[in-house]
Amino acid sequence: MRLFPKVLLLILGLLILLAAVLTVVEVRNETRQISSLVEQKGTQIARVLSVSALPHLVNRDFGTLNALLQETQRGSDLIAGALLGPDGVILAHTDINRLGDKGSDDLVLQAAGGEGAVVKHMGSGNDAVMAVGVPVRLRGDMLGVLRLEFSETAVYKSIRSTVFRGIGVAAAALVIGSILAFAASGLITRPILQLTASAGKIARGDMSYPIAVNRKDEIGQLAAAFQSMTEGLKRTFGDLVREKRRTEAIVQSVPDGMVTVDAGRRVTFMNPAALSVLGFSADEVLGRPCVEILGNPPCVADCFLAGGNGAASARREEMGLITKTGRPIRVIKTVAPMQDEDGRVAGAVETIQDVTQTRRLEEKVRQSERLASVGKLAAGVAHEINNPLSAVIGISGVLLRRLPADHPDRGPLQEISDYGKRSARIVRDLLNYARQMPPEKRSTDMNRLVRESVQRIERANPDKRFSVTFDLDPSLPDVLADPYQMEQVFSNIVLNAVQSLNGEGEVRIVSALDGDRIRISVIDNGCGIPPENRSRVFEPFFTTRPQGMGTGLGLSISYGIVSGHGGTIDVESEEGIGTCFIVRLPLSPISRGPV
Amino acid sequence: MAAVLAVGLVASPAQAGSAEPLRLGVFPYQSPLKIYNDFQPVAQYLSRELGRPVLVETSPSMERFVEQASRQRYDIVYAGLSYYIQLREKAGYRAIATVVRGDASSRRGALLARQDSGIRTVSDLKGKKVGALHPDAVCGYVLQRQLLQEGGVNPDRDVEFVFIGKLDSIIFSVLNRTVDAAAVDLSELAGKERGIVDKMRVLAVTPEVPDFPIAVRKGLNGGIVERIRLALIQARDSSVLAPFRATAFEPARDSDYDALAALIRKSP
Ligand SMILES: Nc1ncnc2c1ncn2[C@@H]1O[C@H](COP(=O)(O)OP(=O)(O)OP(=O)(O)O)[C@@H](O)[C@H]1O
Ligand SMILES: [Mg+2]
Repeated sequence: MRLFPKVLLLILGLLILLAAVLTVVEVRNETRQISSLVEQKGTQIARVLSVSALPHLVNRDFGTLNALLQETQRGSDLIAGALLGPDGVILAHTDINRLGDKGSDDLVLQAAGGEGAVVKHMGSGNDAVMAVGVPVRLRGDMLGVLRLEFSETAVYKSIRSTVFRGIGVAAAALVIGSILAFAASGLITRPILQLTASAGKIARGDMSYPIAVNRKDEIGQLAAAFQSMTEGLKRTFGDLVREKRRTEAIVQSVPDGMVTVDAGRRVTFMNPAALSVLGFSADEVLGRPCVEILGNPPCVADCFLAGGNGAASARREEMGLITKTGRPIRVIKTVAPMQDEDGRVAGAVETIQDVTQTRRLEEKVRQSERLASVGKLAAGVAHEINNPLSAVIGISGVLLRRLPADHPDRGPLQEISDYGKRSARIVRDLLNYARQMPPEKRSTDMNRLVRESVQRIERANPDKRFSVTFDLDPSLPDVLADPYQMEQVFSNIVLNAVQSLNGEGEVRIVSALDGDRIRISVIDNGCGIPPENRSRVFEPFFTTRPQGMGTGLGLSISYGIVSGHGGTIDVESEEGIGTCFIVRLPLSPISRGPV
Repeated sequence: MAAVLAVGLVASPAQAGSAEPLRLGVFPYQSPLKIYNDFQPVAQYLSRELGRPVLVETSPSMERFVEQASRQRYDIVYAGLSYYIQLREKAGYRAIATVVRGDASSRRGALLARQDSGIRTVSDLKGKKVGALHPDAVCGYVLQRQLLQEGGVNPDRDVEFVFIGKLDSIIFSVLNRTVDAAAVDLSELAGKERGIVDKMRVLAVTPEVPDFPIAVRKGLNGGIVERIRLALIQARDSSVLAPFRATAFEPARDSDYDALAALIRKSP
């Protein structure tokens, strides 16, 4: 049962009780009052009547006496009135049928013997009667007794009406009480309901709800206590929220990825860094098994979770991961167990540090260092070889010119000359590579340069069948570059691509603006580069071609040139599917500007 | 009271001309003041009809009234039967009209007892108490004496008469057994309630006698007498009739009362 009906019932009960008690008290009072009033009135009437009856009695004027009694009966509660003679015979009576009868009783005898009025109550309820007896005397002589009977029903009627009034009051009290109780209990329950509503809101975390109970009573105190409790809660909650926001801000802004995993190995949180490294959005990862997100090998959290309370210390290892788009990255993963209050492992926190770029740069640095040392060596060697080679070529040339056309030594001599020339070319290349000539930059339309390079290759290799398609961005801005060196770069890359095709497939060249750089990708669907070779293709003299067919200097020279232009050259390749060389060149300050 | 009465008696309405006023004498059956007041409308009516002032007069007692009348003081007289017979014989007043009560202009007396009293005949009244109106009441005493006599009961020795001035009280005395029987005017009893009448047994009734007369002085001018008679007969106004307790007046001759006079003379 709710408070409101309880209060209502209580108040109504009290009201009804009150009405009942009041009615009983009132009935008692009224009974007493009316009885004494009726008695007074009755005796008074009797006395007056006895006095006025006296002369008529003396005169034996019974007609007038009777008329007097009947007159008295009119408009009063007199039921019966009689005047009895000393012998008890009824001399006058309101009912003429009783005239002449003997009508004496105790009351009459008592009255005849005494001086004053004698009162006697008889019957009850509707038959209640009050009898009054008064002697009629003349100078001590008893002439008769006046005997009057008054109905007391009026008394009971009045008492009944009092009872009815009491019931009426009770009913009115019931109605008014209901209304009052409704209002009163509203006064009590409304603020409680408000408090309840406030508590509900607070439970839902909304503490801005003001408790509008402005009272000075207990409920007001309750509300005030509630208010201060709420304020305390609000402060604590505010502190918590601020702390949480701070933590969140830290977690959100750390450059490293953070992933939390619950005991079910499902992802419960990933910060923006982790999401961007892995290429997911928050919706895609939350609740998913960490294995699916963090790839193979299974997430390191497993080792904690599997081990239960065991090795509760952080682990750190470097591993490869595949992003959502399938891009392989390298990360350093730190896994630390998260423990609940009981010290049980409730999950794990993984931090992911993307080191792909670092590793690549490191590799590049290593490579350039290697290239640089190899270059120096090669340049030294080439320089030393150049002069003897020049002598070999020069002398063999002189000898060839001297020998007659049919001379049998002419063939071997020609061979010496050819090998010599070839060696000289290698040396020249080596020197080119080693010398790293500074580029003579000018504004260059790279689209056009790429096209001309391809045409030159086609002209030089009329026997090779291959197709090159262009997907060039026509709005590609010019860059500052050495056209001669750039042509060398693209000749090398396109030729390599053509060579990887083995007669079938195609080469696609795509140019595009890429941030503050231009990007030119040369894509083939040729044999591809096995992973173990991928980091070595830029090494000088690295070649997979048959003996004497390639020097292995093409890409290392290209690398040098592009680096000399402040650009980069990258390779992505899948064995058996194809290869993509990406050359990025910085935009010249001019072309960067208004364009 | 006496002073007021004296003034009232003298200061009569004298509005009807300068002629000698007529005196209407009413027998003192009630208090003189009440009679004087009650009969004013009658006096006014008559003076209007006769063209002469009419004065109401009465007396403090019957003896005085009869004495005044004997001296011819009243021109017109209204009196009870026994008094009228006296006036007629002593002073020559002549009846000219009779009061009609209800639809009868005559009345009769009776002897009554309670139904349950065991008294069935007049002779049963021997040794009993009999309530009567007044020694002069024709229908309330005088004629009943004759009935007793006729029934073999000596009215002076065999019964004890108790004079109770009012009819009602006589009847109630019978009812409450203060008396055993009553001598009452039957015509008066007719107006009483059934409950009372039913309780009574009529032992005997007197012969019929005419009702109260309106009489005139012996020497009054015949023309005026006729005008008075006419005025009375034509009276319809209740204020004129009420003092007489009459519903109308009937013309009467003095001879109509001869039988009554004889009866009274015969009375023991
Ligand atoms: N598009 C490509 N597809 C497959 N493998 C390639 C591709 N480009 C380069 N390579 C590999 O890289 C190696 C090095 O290439 P690089 O151009 O430096 O030397 P090369 O072509 O072998 O000799 P050369 O000095 O005549 O160019 C090649 O031998 C080849 O194995
Ligand atoms: Mg090559």
